[in-house]
Amino acid sequence: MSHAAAAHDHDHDHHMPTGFKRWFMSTNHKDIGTLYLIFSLTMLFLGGAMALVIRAELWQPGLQYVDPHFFNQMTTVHALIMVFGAVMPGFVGFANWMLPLMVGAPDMALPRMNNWSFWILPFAFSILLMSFFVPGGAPASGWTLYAPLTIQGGMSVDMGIVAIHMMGISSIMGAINVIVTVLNMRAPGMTLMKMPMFVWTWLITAFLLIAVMPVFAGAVTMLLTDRHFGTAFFNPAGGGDPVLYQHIFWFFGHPEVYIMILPAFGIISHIIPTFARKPLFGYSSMVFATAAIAFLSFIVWAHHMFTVGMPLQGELFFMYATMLISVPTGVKVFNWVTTMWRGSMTFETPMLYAIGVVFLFTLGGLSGLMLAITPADFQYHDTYFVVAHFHYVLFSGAVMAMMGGTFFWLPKWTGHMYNETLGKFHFWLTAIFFNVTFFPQHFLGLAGMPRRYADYPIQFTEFNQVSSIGAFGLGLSQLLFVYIIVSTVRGGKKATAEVWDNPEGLEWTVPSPAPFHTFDTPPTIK
Amino acid sequence: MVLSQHTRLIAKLSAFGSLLIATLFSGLALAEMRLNFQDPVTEVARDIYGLHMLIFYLCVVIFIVVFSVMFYSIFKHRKSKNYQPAQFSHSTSVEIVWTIIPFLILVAMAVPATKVLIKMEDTTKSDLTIKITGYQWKWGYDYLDSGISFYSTLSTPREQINQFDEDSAQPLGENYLLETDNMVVVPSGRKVRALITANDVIHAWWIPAFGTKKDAIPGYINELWFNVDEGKEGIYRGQCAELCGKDHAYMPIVVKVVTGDEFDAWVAAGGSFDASNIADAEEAKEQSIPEAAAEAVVDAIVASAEAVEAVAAKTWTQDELMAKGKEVSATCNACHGVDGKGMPGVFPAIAASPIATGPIEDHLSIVMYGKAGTPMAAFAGQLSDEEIAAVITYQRNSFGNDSGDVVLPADVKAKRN
Repeated sequence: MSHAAAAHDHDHDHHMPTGFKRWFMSTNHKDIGTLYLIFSLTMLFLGGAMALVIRAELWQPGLQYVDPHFFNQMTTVHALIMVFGAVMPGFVGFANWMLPLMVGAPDMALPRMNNWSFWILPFAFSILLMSFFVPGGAPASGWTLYAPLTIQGGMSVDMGIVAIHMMGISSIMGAINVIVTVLNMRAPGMTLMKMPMFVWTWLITAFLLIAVMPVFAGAVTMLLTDRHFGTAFFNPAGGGDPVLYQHIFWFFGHPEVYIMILPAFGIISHIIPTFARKPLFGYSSMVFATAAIAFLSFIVWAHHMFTVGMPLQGELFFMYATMLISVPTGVKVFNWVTTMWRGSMTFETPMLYAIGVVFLFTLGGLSGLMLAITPADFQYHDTYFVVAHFHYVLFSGAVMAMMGGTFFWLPKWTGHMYNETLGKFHFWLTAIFFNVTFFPQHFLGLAGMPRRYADYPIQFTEFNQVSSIGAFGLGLSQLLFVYIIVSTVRGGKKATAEVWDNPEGLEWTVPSPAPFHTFDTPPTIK
Repeated sequence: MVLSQHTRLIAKLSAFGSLLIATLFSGLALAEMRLNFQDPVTEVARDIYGLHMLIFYLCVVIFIVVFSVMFYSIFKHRKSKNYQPAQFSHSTSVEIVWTIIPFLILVAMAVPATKVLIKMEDTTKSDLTIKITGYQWKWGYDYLDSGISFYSTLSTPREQINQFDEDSAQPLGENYLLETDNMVVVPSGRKVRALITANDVIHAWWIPAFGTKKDAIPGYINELWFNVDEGKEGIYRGQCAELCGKDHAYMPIVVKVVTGDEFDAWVAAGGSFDASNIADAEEAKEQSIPEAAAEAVVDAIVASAEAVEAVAAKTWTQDELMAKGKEVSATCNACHGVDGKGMPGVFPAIAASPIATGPIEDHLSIVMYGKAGTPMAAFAGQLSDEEIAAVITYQRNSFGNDSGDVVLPADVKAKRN
């Protein structure tokens, strides 16, 4: 392709920074994307280690290793790290790497802000982690930070609030960058309805982020003033309303779960057509379904809090609205399956991941449908059934999609092919241990085990042991992931520009690895 | 006969399948390792169970349909079988169909769900009302119709819970973490309304077999109701379901369901299953003289008031106070540690603390009225004068605190006024 060649020739005119300057002062979307991805992987291991502390303690009833207060710190910080440290920055890393390549732009629109939005994160998480060492330990009131329990916490809660503010600022800056890049820097001829799905899903995600991160910031600021300045927004001792906190939190929290899944939908929508050798089925309905999901995500927040004693009319409204989300989500699943239908499929590692995501995410979606039925939700609420549900959505949905995306684009990023055998091995280890970990938790929840329990009655022992075995297997399998990535970066078979058999999209028209500066002259889309 | 072989195989498979499903979901085959809800004992719980199974089977059907299509194409439409890819990329009619059908399924689901929800939230026409209060970490119960009230705390000994040192740890009991010192007593066949609130943070009151779960929120009074089927008398167990701090896992709920007659006797005996009290009440009932029953109640109240006075008038020695204090301080130990060392930064130590070694006045005030913004609860309403006096005396003279102070019930009484 001519523009690719031109872009490559042009590359020699640029000075490519090295060392400290390249990695710490970068304004290049690819380097910042790499930084984000490495950060996300680091956080995945850190959050995962905390999950293993949890699973070790839950190996059998009674307290063996940690006291309940430390256990609560583990559950809280595990969740905060996974949500704000692993999943969200991971997708921002993908956005940074791929959006300019996909829309034919030379870089992100606001490269210096891009540098800022990344470098805030290591400081934010350092503050969060330092809170383990202050008197009283880290926040222990669950990642939802429900008042009035948070009002009781020590100074770690304040450190957590500062960290959350910083993460929020970082996310909002990332989102602004995505919106400006996508809306202003597309190559000539790329109309909105010609944009790749990943670009679409990220554009919608970015709007969600801008809409809800400030809401969360507001909620935690009100908590902060309740704690220190004598206000009583949520403190019942002063006439405040603890349920108000939950409404505000979930008005952020529910769109947040779609912030964590929509980009994954985008990645899957690239992998499946490539390996089915067939265009994505129902592109426009995919776009509309994504937008519909985003819209509905704003009017279903209270399904997280059916048991707070809402009026019947409120419960009915939130039940109906929640059930409705399954329609556009179903459309997406049907579209992916139909894309596979009568294709010519091969099963390289990214495709295995994509199929795994569709299969397991749908399982999580179906348990979500069960949760939407309010009377039944009263029984599922705050049990391990919910824990199983959201791990099916977030691990096998978001995290496995990122793993699939990593294998899919790794040759483009590094210029080398990864080891296919090891890649497949990694997929099967991850998928099997994931199910061993989380499937039994459905049964635990139905049988009545509440979540966030450091200790449990003896009849829950067997399933907890299965789950703990799975968790350690799942954790150890991820070392293989690191090994595959490191060995691919260091060498291996050279990747061609197209990498896969006839993939779609501008990113495949440039050499592998993608040059430091791509598309100085914009490509034209017919 | 290939065909008949197939038929036989299918018959066998389906028989195996239904057996498997029956095993999984009967809930009887595996009494210990439950896979599904606890057996429902109220009408609402049965309705919920029905809804739950209905949507579960629906999800199974959807799952099978969608993924049999996917796996069919995975096995048939693959490159290694030289399958040539089709190039279609949209079909408006198919997309409309698969939007409308799920929508109709949802409507079909929403109708029964709405009916059950309306029934669940109707707390009118109740036969008795219990006020339930969540505390860190125990439950308080007040029977608003009969004036009975008590607290209910975990009765599993700490030696079973702490397994840190395997040598000193006790083996776990059968009802580990599901046993309390006092049980909630309710009658079967009557509509019980519960008003739920909390004193400090949010808790949730949950008995799975009743199909009830409601948050206990400070500043709010929530409602739920249940009506246990007659013939389902027995003991039902549940746990707190909303993260409420350190001992979240240690505030179980145990409900004893008795027949209406037994319940009336229990109420008449002032909330006691003590044999003599029940005998008195039953005797009164047999004579079916309302006056006699009323008299029995009055007698019981007078007797208990006399007992209280006798206790208050008693001159307590330090040894007596210390012995009683050690007993009462189990509540304190949950946070401040059996060695009084606390948990730095969260729960302050009692040993050598400025409160327990400083002015008695401050010590009294923190035990009786708590400390805002911390899990330290106000115990003035939960403990009697004697208990407060005893526990303070105990704390000032143990864990290396040797002030020699003696705090008498009269001091507590003075502080109350």
